[in-house]
Amino acid sequence: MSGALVATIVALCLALAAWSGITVLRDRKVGLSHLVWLGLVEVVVLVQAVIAIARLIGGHHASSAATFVGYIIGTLLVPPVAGLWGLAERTRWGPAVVAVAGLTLSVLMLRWQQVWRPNGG
Amino acid sequence: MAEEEKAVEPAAPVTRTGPGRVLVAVYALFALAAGARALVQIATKFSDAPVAYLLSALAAVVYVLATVGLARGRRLSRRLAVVACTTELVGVLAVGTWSVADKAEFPDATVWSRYGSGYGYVPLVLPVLGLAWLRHTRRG
Repeated sequence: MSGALVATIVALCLALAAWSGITVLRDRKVGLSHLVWLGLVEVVVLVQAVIAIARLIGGHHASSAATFVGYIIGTLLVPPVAGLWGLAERTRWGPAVVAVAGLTLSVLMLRWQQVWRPNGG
Repeated sequence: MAEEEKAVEPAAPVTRTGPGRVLVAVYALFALAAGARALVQIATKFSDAPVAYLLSALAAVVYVLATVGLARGRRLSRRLAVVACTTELVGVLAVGTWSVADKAEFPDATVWSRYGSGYGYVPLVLPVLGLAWLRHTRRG
């Protein structure tokens, strides 16, 4: 897995969390910016997933392929579900959901890296 | 315009609005995390630590029930959520203590091992928040 790509994704997710946090403080609801940002994260995570799966098929030994694939599926579910759930809450608590998603996604990407290593996980 | 008579619950489902939105989101995340982890553990290496992995699966079920109970918010769902969150609290305390006392039985981290230390101790705090929120959104 490319360290640069993972770092980019983590930075995107943390920035989204920060932006959503600001939205909460401003007492605004989830807007287009949050949804587009979540969409962007989803796309980049998908790119990373495709690259990683290609490497797994090519013979890379992760600590557990099953766990890694599990993390891929789980991670890909977070942005769309968080987006919909946060969007449906027409108060400041909507962006709070997105902030939690951003933080969670950052942690998930770090877990991807851990599980990717042969003796990680 | 004809008015539709719908059977309406006396209280709107408030558990899933406001701060409850975030609570349900976190519960859903844990339902996903615990469920996925339990699934992989049981499918690939069940014999390594059957007790730990079965408890992992139990935790996942409890999280799913809490998520659904809080998200639906109807009277019966609230009761389900109270039972689930209480079980969760007892679970994290019991499994936490057991995993510290008997490390051999818990070679891999599960959601409730060591009071949820592998998850930033959120599993320890979450049921307390869940029960507090349920109490806060009680009617009357």
